Amino acid sequence: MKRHRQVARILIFLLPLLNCFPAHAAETKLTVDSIIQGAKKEGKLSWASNLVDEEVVALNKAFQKEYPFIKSVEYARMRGPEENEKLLSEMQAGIYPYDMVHVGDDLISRYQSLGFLMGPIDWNGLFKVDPRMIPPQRFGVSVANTLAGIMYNKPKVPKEQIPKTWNDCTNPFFKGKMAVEVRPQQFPSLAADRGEEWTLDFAKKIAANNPRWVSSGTAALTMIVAGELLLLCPTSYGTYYRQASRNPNFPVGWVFPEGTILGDRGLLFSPVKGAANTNTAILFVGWVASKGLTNLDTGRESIFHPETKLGTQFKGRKIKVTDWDSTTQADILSKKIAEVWGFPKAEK
Amino acid sequence: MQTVSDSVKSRQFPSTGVLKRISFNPASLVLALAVLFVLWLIVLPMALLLLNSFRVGPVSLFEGTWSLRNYVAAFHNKFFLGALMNTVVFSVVATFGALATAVLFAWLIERSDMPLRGAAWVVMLLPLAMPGVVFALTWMLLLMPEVGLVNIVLRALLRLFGITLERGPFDIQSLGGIIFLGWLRGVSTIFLMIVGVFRMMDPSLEDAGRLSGARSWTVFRRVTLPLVGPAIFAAGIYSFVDHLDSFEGPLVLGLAARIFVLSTLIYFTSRYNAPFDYGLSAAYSVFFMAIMAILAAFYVRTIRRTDRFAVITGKGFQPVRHKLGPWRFAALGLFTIYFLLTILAPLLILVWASLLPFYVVPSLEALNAVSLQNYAAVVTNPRFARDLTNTIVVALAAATGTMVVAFLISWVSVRTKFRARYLLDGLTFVSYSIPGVVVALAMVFVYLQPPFRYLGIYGTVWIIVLGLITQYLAFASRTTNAGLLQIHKELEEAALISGARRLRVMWTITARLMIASLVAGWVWVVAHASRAFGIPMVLSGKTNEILPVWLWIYWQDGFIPQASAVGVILIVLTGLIGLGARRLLVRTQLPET
Repeated sequence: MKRHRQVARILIFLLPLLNCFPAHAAETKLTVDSIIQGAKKEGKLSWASNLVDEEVVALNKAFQKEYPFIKSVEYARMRGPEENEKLLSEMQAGIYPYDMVHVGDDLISRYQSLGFLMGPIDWNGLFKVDPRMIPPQRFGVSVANTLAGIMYNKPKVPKEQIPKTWNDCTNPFFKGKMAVEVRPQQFPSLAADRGEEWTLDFAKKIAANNPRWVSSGTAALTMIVAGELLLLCPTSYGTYYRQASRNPNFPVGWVFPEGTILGDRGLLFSPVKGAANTNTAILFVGWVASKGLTNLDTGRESIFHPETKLGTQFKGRKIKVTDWDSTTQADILSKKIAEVWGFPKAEK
Repeated sequence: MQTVSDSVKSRQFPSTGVLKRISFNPASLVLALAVLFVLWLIVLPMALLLLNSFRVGPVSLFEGTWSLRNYVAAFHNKFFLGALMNTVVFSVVATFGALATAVLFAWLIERSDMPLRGAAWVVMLLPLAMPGVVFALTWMLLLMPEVGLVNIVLRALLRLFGITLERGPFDIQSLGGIIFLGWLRGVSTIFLMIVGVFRMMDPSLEDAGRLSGARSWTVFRRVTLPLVGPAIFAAGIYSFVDHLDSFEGPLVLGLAARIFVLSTLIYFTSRYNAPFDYGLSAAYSVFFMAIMAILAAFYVRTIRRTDRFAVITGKGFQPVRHKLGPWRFAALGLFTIYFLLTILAPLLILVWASLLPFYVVPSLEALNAVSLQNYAAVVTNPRFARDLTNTIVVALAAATGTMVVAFLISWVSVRTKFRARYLLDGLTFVSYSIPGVVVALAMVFVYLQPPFRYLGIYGTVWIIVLGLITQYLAFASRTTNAGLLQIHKELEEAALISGARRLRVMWTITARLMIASLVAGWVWVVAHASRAFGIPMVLSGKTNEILPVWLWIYWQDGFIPQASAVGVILIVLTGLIGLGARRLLVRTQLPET
């Protein structure tokens, strides 16, 4: 029995290797020329991330314009943990639907252990990608930053009550009229800047302000737009920007609290080892991280890229982005905050 | 003296020897098919679920270690008892409320002369077309304490009586709000489970009651209700479990006030933070399965003496309608209130939201922003034609497949002496406790591995169809069981003794007599499959996406107006299918008396 299991394990680990010949090129000495030659032979790309379909149209077109030999670019939206599980199962079974995916922080170790991430790639040397966008293992590039701030209802919040600092979220004016996301996604950024003790205390104080708990920023946004709630704190700029940029009379305002702008790393674009078009995937990631990002307008494209809309907007301002270690350990802090707020968590 | 039953014994299943029983004849074929479908669609995912509940680690066939930690984590959670209590209160109250409402409405539509019955039948279906999360959110917009439209109107009315309130009087984000929505949502499903039974009931027993001097209410209580007992009991159990598993309403409404039921507790502990804790989710699902198994045992005990509930016999019958007199309009008034609460109010809010660039409270000023832009954006998107086609294919195929399999299983459970028939029926029923996402992930594993991989259905609409059949089989088999229980065996026996073949009898007599139940079940599955997103979300890929998945994506991304536009289109689509089904049912028209 034990022997059968060992054989099965070996087979499972060998299965992806059977399909990884295109990736082999990436492990040898890569040059831009060799990548382009490889991409010419492949001629297509399939990729997935959590970006909205409409957000990537311009990006895909620009990539094909830059490299006309890429005849087809297919994009798919990845949503939620179930889809990640599905993708991992597909790849374990030898089906590689995407050449490049966005790997969530919490999944890096699984992707690594299953051998789906490429070996170190010299993104900076090959494509002149800003080193701050590259994780230590160099398998991919983070092309986004989620910036933390506060959303409020413009018509209903008087000017003097508009929050200026994080502590203003605990203002009794907002008692019972503010929303807090139960998934504390922005708190690791706060903790990286102000320390864990301050962050947990802040979490306690906003819970004492009797907030309405919401499952996501978008759920709160509906209630803020309707005027039922006045404030969402903290939340991500991307959630606000996605709506506000499309509606000129949007009744919701945004505040980056005074001091350093805080953010975390997102959209870790990673070519998939074993996929059919890895050269094109490497070329795409390198191009997006160096030139292509100017074609993204999501409110979360990387601020380390000087020519993106956000990069230009915040030039000269003090910005602190969570370091790579804190990024991968955000889950531990989330669990502590869930406990402070009195939400259930698995205790295993 | 030899009876009809005795003389056809040779055509039924002998009661000894499994191999003998599965000897080749048409009845054995039905039995074999029923067993095969149960093994394939139900036992396989159930077995995976059970195995994974004892595994810790990521979801994969060869990862993780064996352990009881999932169960320890599930039941030692300090929120467990509170969530269980909330779940029981919510499920019991919502089930009784929905059951009473549905029984009354089924009787009014099928057995009374209430005006506009045809329209009322379709009205009963429409709530099914509205995705749960959309229904919950529209009601939240109506009953938000400060800017909810209903609260605004009520406050204005109260002011006329000198009562001034700043907020409320209602707050939907409470346990009361969850129960209210659960009650409203539960009516349609129960209605569809029992409406066929009311339609096909022989009125001679009721007539006998009336001739004995009993009043209409007494006849309803003492004759009608006991006759439709098994169907109502089955619907009640199903509805109870449906509420136990209810997720969208408790998430949208309960979360704000930190009110947890079991389904939201599972979500928070196993799915909210990645990676998805499949083992923990599976452990909770096994707990649900245990509850279902107990309820299934009760159900099986009830239906064991099947002949007691047969109301369609060989004697020939003419179902009649009761005259309500002036109460006809009171009955119609009740329907109007139901229509207002479940359809008109949420639908108007949904239509309103779909016409605006972003949601604002309805006002004359906001009318300036009204346009059809969101509909244009949805309909002109290339995704629309593909998703619409896929939705129609999935809904029709899932409904037809589910009803065929459910009919086979019911026939084996109700009509044969197959020893494991109750197990077969019980497994089908218990399968409802497996959450959709768990079913979908189990299917991913199964259809990616040999031998199922060679079927080539992975990544097509057919894998979604199979997933939905698995999910809806419990409901469908309750409906077909109830329909079959009402048909006395003597009708089939008469045909068999006249020389008709078993399959011909099944098709020309049994299936036709229970057409009302079959159509009702079919419509229910169509309505649910048209708005299902749990299973399709996981199983959909580049080419097999359906409209509800698109709606859900819009919704999650905060594009409420576009999501509302897709929601309105889905409701219209389901309404049209409901009308078609109603026409089909009219072929079994009741005589007006």
